[in-house]
Amino acid sequence: MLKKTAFMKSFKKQFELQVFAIIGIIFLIIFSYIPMAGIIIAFKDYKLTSGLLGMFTSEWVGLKYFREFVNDINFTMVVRNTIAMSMLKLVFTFPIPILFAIALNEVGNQKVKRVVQTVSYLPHFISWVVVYGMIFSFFNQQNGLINQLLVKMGLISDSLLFLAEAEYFLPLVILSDIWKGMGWWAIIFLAAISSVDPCLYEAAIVDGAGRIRRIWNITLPSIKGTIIIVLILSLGNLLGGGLGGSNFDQAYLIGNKANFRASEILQTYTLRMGLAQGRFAYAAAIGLLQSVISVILIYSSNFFARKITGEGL
Amino acid sequence: MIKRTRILSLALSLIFLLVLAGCGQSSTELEDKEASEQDEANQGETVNEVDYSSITWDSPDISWKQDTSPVTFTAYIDYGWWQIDTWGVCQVTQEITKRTGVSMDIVKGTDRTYLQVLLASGELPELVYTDYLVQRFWEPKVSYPWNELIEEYAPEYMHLIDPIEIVNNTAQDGNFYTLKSHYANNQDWKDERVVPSPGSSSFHIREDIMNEIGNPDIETIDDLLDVYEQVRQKYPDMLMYVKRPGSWDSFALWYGCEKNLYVDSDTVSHYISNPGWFEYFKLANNMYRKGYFTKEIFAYAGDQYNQVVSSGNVFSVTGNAPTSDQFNEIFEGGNTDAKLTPLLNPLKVNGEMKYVQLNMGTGWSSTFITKNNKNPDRAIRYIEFLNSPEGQKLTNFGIEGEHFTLNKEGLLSRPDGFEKLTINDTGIGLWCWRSSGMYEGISISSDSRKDMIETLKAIKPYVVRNPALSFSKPAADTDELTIMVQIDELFSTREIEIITASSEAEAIEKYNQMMEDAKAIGLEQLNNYMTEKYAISKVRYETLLD
Repeated sequence: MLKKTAFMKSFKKQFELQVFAIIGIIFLIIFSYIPMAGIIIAFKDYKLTSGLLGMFTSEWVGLKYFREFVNDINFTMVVRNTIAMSMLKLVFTFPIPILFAIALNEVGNQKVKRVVQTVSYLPHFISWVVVYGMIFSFFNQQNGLINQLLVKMGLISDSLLFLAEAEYFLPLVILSDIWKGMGWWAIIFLAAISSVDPCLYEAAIVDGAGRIRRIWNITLPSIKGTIIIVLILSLGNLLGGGLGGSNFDQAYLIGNKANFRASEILQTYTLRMGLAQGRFAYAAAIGLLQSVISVILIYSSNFFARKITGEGL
Repeated sequence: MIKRTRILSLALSLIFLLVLAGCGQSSTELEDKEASEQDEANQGETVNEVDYSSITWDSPDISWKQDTSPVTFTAYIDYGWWQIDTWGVCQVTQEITKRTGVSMDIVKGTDRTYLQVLLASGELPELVYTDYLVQRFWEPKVSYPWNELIEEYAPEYMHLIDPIEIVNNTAQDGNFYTLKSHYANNQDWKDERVVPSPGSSSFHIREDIMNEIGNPDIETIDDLLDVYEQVRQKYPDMLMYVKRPGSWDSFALWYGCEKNLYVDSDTVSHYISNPGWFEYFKLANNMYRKGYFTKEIFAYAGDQYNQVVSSGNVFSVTGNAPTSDQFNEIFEGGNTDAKLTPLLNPLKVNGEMKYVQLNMGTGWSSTFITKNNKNPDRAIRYIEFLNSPEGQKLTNFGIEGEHFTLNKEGLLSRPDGFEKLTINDTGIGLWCWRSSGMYEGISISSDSRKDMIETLKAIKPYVVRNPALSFSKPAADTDELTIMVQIDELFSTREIEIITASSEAEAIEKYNQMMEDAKAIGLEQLNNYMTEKYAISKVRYETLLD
């Protein structure tokens, strides 16, 4: 009884904060947990016309849709492309905002720093559709600026098929993702850097540490926790595109029938062969496979992060 | 301060709960719907036995004229390109409301998945206008059968419908849930004003450049390739050929290859089974290796295709019927020294004319009156209005006297200043959800875009109509439909690899691989299924026509 009163007292004291937390929990339950019941359609012969109840009343078909996907002639290609795109984006796009934040932190002139920061995070607000329009204008073979420039500079004799050859797809994806997300994600790391105790830098300067030494021995260790948490979150969404979660947008827009050998990924394949055909059960099976891989990735990365650095979620 | 924060927190919670409440359909709404369904059933019982066969479209007793009080339907239009998504902004919709009392709250689909989600969630609007996987709507749980609604609320309408149209649209349960729009029966088809769809693939070349090289005759594909060589001598940087995304390649059509069903006597197969592709691929690969087009043309979406053709650096184009008119307007507006003209005669292959346009001839888009419709009586009567000559004239031609008058040839005469009006002003040609091919034909044949009309008239003799084929395609949610989709997907990606192969031997190897993969997916099962279905529906049509 005493415990209950204490709980109520403490709850009443934190009422405003608790309201926010409760709203968040309700939101999660309604929009994240309850819909999970829909996973069962991955194992059922679900037809659209049977409506929502059909999720429970339709016949079980076991692993039919999983088998169908695994036996699909495009299975290996789609999985390989998804993993390649995700891993390469992680390797190339994850460190860039950290380096950029550190570089920006070292800029002494506040005006320059502000301008650079603003200009760098503005692309984050441009939609991928518009970004693709820009990519087309820059990279198309007929009159793209980059092709014209390369030809004029004598670096190539004929225009390159940036948009149609599979080999150029991943570089385009990575470069555009870096351009669009670098400034935005640097904000998190800049915030972490700003919380580093200035005394540490002053002491290091007194000890004769140079700029690189200070970055290596003070800045990076101080923001290690933030880096690891962002890395784990990125790994959790690795198949979705890491930090920006942009795999689908990029594959859908920059990808086409000509470069499909590199651009067809799980999400675009699910859309075309599952959702667009109203084959929700098949789409759910592919989505579930993807989620299982993501859960494994997030737990294993957290485990290794704890083992190696002692920090994690 | 604490009090203010507390109020703020509670207000936020309230907003959140209201938002959640808004996500669901209220029980009151459902009760209203059930009550209204009951009313409709009762109303149906009061219909009297009358001889409707004497009623004509002009009769004052016709059902749609009986109630013109205001009614609003929610409607879903499954076409991203639909120009108008607000009712009442254009003259035709204003006039429809004036005459019938009907207006609509419109939702326009942006992609094909959205309607499927609405269907699964039971949140379909009252009317749905689509041409995609329509058999999912041929379900009494999803849509009202038109025959039942007609029987109850517009009995004379049944006598005014072409019986073949009913056969074209009858589901396996014996009901018809829609009658597709823009259907032309055999008699209408013979009328010279009725032409194929403006979306038909057609070939267009640069008239200005043809004049420069002395207008050589182009009768065969070889003639065209000779012209390409001559043009390339003169304009080495020019792209010889571009294909509009979504259009069927003219070269393939000249080889008798459509991305439609392939019919060989009584056997119906997926188009991949057409042996003509093999020779076409060898030609296309040869053209690619000669540099007449680049791989990038397969990467273009509509906007990029428009951008490239508008640049004036393209010699020939596979587009649709209005392509020449469309780009010539752009060339004129941009002062680009270029002019496109349609190549009217299909080209022969090795002296042989293989070109054919298979047309199932059962119409195009379907309107469904869904089970969520609160006024199915008004909905079916609205359909009756759209089907009437009055409705068809209004939706296809505009308001008589203001937008058109019919001349002696049975074509439309437009008043001065009409050309300044846009489709957004008039809405002409959009709301004809029960139009016949005849009215559409008159509208197209009266169009000011002369190249388009000439193109369509030139295609018409090559059209082969076979409505029985429309029942050969696999129904929604069948294994055969999955196979068909997978083979479509296989073809659409592999064709580019075959065409852009570095040698003819490699192209042949890739073609053989594609056929192997198609077999592994289940090509034979699909072809057997379609052939069986075709045999059944062919008998059905033959019996009817006898």
